[in-house]
Amino acid sequence: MMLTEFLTLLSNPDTLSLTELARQAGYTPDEVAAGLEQLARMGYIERQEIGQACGVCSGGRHCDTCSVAGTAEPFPSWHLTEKGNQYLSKRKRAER
Amino acid sequence: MDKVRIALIGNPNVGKSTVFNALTGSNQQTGNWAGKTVERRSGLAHKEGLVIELVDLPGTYSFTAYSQEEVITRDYILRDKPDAVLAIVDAANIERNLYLVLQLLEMTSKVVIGLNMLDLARSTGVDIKAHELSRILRVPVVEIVAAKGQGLDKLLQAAVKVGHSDALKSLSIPYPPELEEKIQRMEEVLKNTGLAKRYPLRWLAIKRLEQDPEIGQEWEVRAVVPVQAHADACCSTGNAVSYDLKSTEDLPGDVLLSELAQAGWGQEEMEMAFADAKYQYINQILPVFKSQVHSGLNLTEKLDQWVLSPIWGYPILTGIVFLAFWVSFILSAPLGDLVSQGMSGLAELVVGVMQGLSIPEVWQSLVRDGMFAGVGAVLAFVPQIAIFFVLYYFLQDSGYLARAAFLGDRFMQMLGLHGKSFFSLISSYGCNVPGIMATRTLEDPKDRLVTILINPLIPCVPRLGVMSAVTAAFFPGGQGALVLVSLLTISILLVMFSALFLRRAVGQTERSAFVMELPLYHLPTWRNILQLAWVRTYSFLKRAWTFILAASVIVWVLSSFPQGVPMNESWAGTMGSWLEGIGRPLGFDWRIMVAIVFGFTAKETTLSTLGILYGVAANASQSIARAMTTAMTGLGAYTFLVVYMLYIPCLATVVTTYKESGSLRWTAFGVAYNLLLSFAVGWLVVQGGHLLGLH
Ligand SMILES: Nc1nc2c(ncn2[C@@H]2O[C@H](COP(=O)(O)OP(=O)(O)OP(=O)(O)O)[C@@H](O)[C@H]2O)c(=O)[nH]1
Repeated sequence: MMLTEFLTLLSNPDTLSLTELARQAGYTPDEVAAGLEQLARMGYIERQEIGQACGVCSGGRHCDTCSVAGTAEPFPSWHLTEKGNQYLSKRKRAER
Repeated sequence: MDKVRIALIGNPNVGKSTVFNALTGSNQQTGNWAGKTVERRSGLAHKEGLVIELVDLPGTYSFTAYSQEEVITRDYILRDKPDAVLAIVDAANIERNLYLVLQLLEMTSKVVIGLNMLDLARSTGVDIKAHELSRILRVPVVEIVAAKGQGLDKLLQAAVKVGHSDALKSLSIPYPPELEEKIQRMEEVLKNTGLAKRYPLRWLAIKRLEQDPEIGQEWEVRAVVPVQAHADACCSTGNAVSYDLKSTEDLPGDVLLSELAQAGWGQEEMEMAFADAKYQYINQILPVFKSQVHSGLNLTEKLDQWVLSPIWGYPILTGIVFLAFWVSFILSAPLGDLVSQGMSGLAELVVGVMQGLSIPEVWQSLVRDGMFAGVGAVLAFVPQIAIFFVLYYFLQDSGYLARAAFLGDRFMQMLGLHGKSFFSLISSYGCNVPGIMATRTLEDPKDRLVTILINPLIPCVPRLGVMSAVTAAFFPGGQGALVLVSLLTISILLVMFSALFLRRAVGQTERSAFVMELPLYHLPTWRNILQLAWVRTYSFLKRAWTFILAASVIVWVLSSFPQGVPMNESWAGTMGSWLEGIGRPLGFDWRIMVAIVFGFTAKETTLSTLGILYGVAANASQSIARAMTTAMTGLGAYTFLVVYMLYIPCLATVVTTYKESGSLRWTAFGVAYNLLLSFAVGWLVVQGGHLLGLH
């Protein structure tokens, strides 16, 4: 169960790099990236950009300095959503 | 004339429109899909006496019923039944793209795959064997490079051929036995229904098991039963008649679905299991047709083994930060002096002209001792700051900064700080204001409060720039780099300490992790770096001419009036004497205390204030750096840097803290916490220094 496996790895308290997640789960980074995008489309996880807060910036002079990344690429990352959390706890309950 | 209708599908951005445009040329029609806001494009192509109608369907990732685009695409394939479907696949992202293709093959077998972006795939060392893919999926696969028009003729030919042939036996994705069993049971239930005559039975069964809402709707025969809320509803005002939608009969498959749900196979489990099985299948067939020559990835993996290692990662990080600061000090040292000299030369020139025009002395002093001293003090640090930005963006563009952030989060894990808190803290290195705003993504109000309160302890880039400038004045070369690394370490330790302390104070609970996409390492492009560094440096410069200039005039007025008294008896001096008591244990004189207070508006103001109060411009050979080094000892300067780094960043941060926390009490607490912490740590530094025999 590849997608469920990714979800479970995401629920661990350790932060992983995509390559580490791929190694732990036994897939290539491309396969993991495809799987994570699928999970995001299904609403179980979401992609967020670290160091980038322009989305919440109301404009003005702070916006040009508002990310570590400045105007360059921020760092993308994936998190579990509420739906993802609920799905996993339902699974855990079912397994018990 | 014979006519063939071909639909184009594909994930967004795979080059579908490029194919469509190349095949139809100017022979296109655009409009909207009936009742939808999505654009409909169709066009005609002519080939060997045939008229080929091409319909460009919206780009989608799947054929569930989640979005308008998905429903339009799916309905067109199932209901309008084009003669052939042309699926454009991005060869460079084939893992993602095949998911859509597999779903398509469950709906129709009349498919041709256009394997696009082969140029891109090959450039990253990916090789796709089209004939193997074709053999596995049982449909023609044509290699194309749409952007260059390569392979498009062959693609169209293949599609026409499929369009003219009878439906082939389609690929049946092998699902795991527990799913196959459910599909068969559902097929049994549905096989005699009307929908089974219109749609492929296996596809229908799978969609029903996934409880696809569109399929459900097609069946639903609902009776609208009006229900009156009250018996005397006619007489009471504002009580509209409400309608209760009632299903008159069970839909086909409902019984099986509820049985499965009881056995733990609800809608989510089912949907997940099918998606999972398709990806499993893709991964299983991938090695047969895809091979990858390892290129950049290999180097990245090798480097990451060291760079991200829990043991070596942190010493490497420290080493790189040290090196970056050291290089910036070495390079900027001669430039700073040059700017200082230039500014005093310019001041003399302007004052000379003013004297020639017999402008009163007080105005001359305003220009020389106020404007030029203040703005000049800030400008003297511009080379240092510019070089700092260049190195900073160098690290970012190379891919290292993302790793530093990753290591940073690992560190935070030890504190039990939430992954999303880390987002905000990292943003704070850019600027504390959006850093605090980024806490909005934290659901738990306690997590949020802790993160808001810790944020100001992170030195933002402008603050780091000024810190590195002051450091350069006191501690040349390697010594300075060491000082800055130690200051950053102090800030991180305090973030840790504060997290633990505040977590107790507000009782924060759990954390969850995340997966970070780390970019490949690559040689940074200088153009990019210089451009970004220039944007930052320019915004710093712009502030020097506006905000800092105004602040300099105010400080000059405060330090020059009442007229004729020595500076320490001026208004600023009087203010300083009230503050001196607080600064004395830390070895700060009244000027530093006044500069710290003025720095409250914006950090650079501290520099301009020091420039004026130390009377930099009065003496042409005096640079701000030299003035400060004669006025402060090394230990004093280090203490100043610690306090400067930790006390309230700026007014905007305080205002944002109030806006975001919505609590005056917590804002006041934050301000008091920052002030107390900065002076307490400063005092510890002084005591520690004395114990070590420093002065
Ligand atoms: N390198 C390369 N680029 C291509 C190729 N085909 C298309 N592109 C480029 O890929 C980008 C996306 O192409 P489009 O044709 O707009 O993609 P699309 O699938 O229609 O995208 P949506 O409109 O979002 O569905 C464009 O910049 C094209 O020039 C190719 O074979 N090789």
